[in-house]
Amino acid sequence: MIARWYETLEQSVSNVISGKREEIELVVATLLAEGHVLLEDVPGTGKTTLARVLAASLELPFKRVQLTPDMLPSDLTGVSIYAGGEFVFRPGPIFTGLLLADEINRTTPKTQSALLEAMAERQVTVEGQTRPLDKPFLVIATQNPVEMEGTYRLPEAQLDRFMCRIRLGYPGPEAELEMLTRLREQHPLERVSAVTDRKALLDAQQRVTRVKVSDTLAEYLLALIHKTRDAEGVSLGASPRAALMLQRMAQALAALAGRDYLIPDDVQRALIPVVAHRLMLEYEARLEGLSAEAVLERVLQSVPVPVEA
Amino acid sequence: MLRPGFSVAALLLAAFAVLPSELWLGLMLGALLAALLLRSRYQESFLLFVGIPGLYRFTPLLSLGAIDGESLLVMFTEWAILSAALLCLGVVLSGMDSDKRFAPLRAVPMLLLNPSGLALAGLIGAQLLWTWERQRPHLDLGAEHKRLILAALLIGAPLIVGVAGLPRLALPSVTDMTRDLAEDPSIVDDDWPYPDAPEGTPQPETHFAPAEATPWSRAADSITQGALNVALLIGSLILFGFTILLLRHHPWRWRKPKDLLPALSLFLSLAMLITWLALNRPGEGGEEMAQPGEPPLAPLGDVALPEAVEQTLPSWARNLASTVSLVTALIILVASVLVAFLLWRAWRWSKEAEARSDTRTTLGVKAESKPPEDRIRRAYQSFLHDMYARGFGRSFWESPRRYAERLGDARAELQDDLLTLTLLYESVRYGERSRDEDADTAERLAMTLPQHFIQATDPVEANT
Repeated sequence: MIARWYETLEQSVSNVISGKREEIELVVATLLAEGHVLLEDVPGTGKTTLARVLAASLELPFKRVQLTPDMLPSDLTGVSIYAGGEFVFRPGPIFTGLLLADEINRTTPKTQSALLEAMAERQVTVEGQTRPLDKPFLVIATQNPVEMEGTYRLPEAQLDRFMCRIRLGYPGPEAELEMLTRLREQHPLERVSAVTDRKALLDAQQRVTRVKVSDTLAEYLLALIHKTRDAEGVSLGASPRAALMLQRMAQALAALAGRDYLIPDDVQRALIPVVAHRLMLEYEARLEGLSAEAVLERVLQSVPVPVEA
Repeated sequence: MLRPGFSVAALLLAAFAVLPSELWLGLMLGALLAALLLRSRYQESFLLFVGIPGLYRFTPLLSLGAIDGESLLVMFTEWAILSAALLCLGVVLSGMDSDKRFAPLRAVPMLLLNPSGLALAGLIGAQLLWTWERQRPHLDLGAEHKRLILAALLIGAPLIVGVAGLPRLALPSVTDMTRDLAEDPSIVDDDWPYPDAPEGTPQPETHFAPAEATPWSRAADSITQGALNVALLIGSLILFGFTILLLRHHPWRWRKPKDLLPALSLFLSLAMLITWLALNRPGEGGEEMAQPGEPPLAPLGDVALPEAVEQTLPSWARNLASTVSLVTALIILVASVLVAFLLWRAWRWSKEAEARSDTRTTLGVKAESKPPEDRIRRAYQSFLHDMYARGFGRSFWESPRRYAERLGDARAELQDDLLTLTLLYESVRYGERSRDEDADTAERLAMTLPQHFIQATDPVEANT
């Protein structure tokens, strides 16, 4: 059922974003796993477009925030204003179904941290009063590579709240040519209509939690997580929260593939998107050009998959 | 959890309990070595290439009893210098080989330098087998190490005693040699008269004063010979039991080095039993050996034959006593190597199992000591074995689906069948479902699919 639901959604998104089938699947899986997505790449690779087309296809309340260095936390969470003889809370853009936090690393750490509570606990505390957020609440944040000018590195605690970091990358030559043809007259985003609704999404999220994870695969998953903690060149490995998110993400990928049980490939496929942005590499390793992705590839090739011997 | 340190300690304690006091010094040195190596980062090199050969070489020499302190010091110094040099080399080579893929290379200079070359060669062979096995796809060893530790302990204790008694069997004791020399009237001192001897000095009666046999040395003779006798019998029986134990779980395939273990074990068991029977023929060596104070060995195989008949016999038959001694020595040596190998493997397996049980995750798999009961899982296991034998083995980190894709790339026309088998296996193994209705399909595919892949000339090389 989820597979059919995804097929429709994927078709709708692919009409706008060409040649990114795998990335689209990862983003949808993250949404099904009730996680938040960090889309990272250079400007102009379709990060914002992907978020917008997803929101439109899912028919979710959608807010977009362009984060800038002068933005305050209250610009996100909302503020109480004096009107009619009393203070009235005016909700910020964070009170929505799908929040697109565009260029999150261009704002200050203080404003970035304002998202922490909302992302982790799905609630916002303003002026001493805690207000729950509606379900589903999904954050798709985009960021430019940290090396670019005018960017602030996201704090580790903030990074840990994102279930996945996905790099879109440049489209292939054929996909880019198709994009040129398709966008010559009208942007397809303007024609996107909802192919599913909030209830279907919530139902799919529930089904994901029921995907079976065998004991041996849970051990395999933990073996991968533990291996990141003593991998060469890594100063901070994956946290227990990362293990939980990896399991949920793998469940979502299994559900999208039409299975109600996990296989090792689901875990392997989810590992890099879920864990790479949580690893802190040693200074020397970074100098030598080692990347978190390379470390995780090594980890994958060092842990045996539970199969008959 | 039985740790390797306990195994060594137990062996040493057992040896202390049964060996005569002359051997204690050697064993204390051995215990010191064991303590050092267990604290050392390079304990593997230390244990295999310095400690055991040192013990092997040193302990039997001590058992001669009448050896003097100066010779002992010279031997110890020589061995210590060699061992230290070899240890340094081992550490250097270990450091160069950080991923330990070429562990046997570490032994090469030691093999060249250490006089105990034969024992080393056996140990290196064992390590080669182990390294080879580690490079194969993951093998779930389960709780087998516990059984091996027990077997090695049971075999090892009497064998240590046997090795200690070896010089008594193969060589006459120093006491006996000096007594024989003193009593032999044909021996004359060719150098007499000495150039610096005053004229008229009478020639001394003999230069080979017989060493007095002390109660201690006689007791040592008796104990070590009796222990050797017992070691042969017990070792033989235990090895036989071990063979049966191995055969119960044997896959009846001869593809892996460890598959040869039952054959080796059976051979040693029979050889030790035959030797024990030869030593204990009625009216011959066996009865005399147990008598304290008697010469260590009565002549063996000393059957009165006509001289003409005896001349036709081959030399080994004419000198049956020496032949039996030599065979015994060789058997004990090979058995010792086997015990060392078993202990070493058990130690490595216990380390892996301990890591698994500590985190339940280090290897990512649960220990499975018995073959799967489900037909589809058994069929897939058989498929993996057959593909491995043909040089198309699965890498240990490869998922079944990725493995099927790789095989499908090699034989595109089989992609569908490979995927079918893989899907069936996945649903049973990871989905934990019963798919009895599909078991026939899985078994058929598992049997036929490997036949489409050409047998590699060297499967091990192809798999690596």
